[in-house]
Amino acid sequence: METSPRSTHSPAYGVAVNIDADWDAGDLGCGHLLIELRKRLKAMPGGVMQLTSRDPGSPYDLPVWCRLTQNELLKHDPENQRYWIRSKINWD
Amino acid sequence: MSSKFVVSLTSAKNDTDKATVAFVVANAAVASEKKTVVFLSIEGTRLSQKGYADDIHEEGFAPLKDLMKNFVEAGGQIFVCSPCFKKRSLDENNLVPGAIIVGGAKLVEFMGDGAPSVSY
Repeated sequence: METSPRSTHSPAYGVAVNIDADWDAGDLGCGHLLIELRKRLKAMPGGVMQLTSRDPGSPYDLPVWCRLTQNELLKHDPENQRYWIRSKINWD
Repeated sequence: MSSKFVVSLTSAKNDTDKATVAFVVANAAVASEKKTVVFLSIEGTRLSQKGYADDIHEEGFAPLKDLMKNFVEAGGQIFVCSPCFKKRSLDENNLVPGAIIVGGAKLVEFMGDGAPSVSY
């Protein structure tokens, strides 16, 4: 479950995007996942995180959470349980 | 959409599953940028005491003390029911960070202009 800040490319949008962090959250879900995700995204305003989440609730929770918090869900790949999220700029 | 959220919790070691899930949901609420209050009443007030939650760890969940710590560090507040606290002779000098002892008016004020809530 380590974050590895890096810049690489990923198939979000079907085109390459820069990835600033890659976090495999494993089986974390619900509040466990969201509180940690918030902390990590807040530390990288404007950056893109490639997130892997295997919790069965995440396909429902993460799009809603992104809408509630104005972080941009760029793409969800259900088959590989991956999400690409752009951290909002203003965390005030 | 309301910017507030209340989690009401009436259990502690008498139902550690409820106590744990309440704080998981509270973490989800505060992470979703809601002004979130966990209202501890009845047996739940025991969780206001430093050290009390240290040995509560439900299988499949983070330890309760970590859930409570994360909740407060993210900006969550813990309201502790004053009469429930006094009935149990708890120690007001041994409160966990983020906890304040309140009367009903404080909760009524917080919820007064509308706040969704969930109870455990």
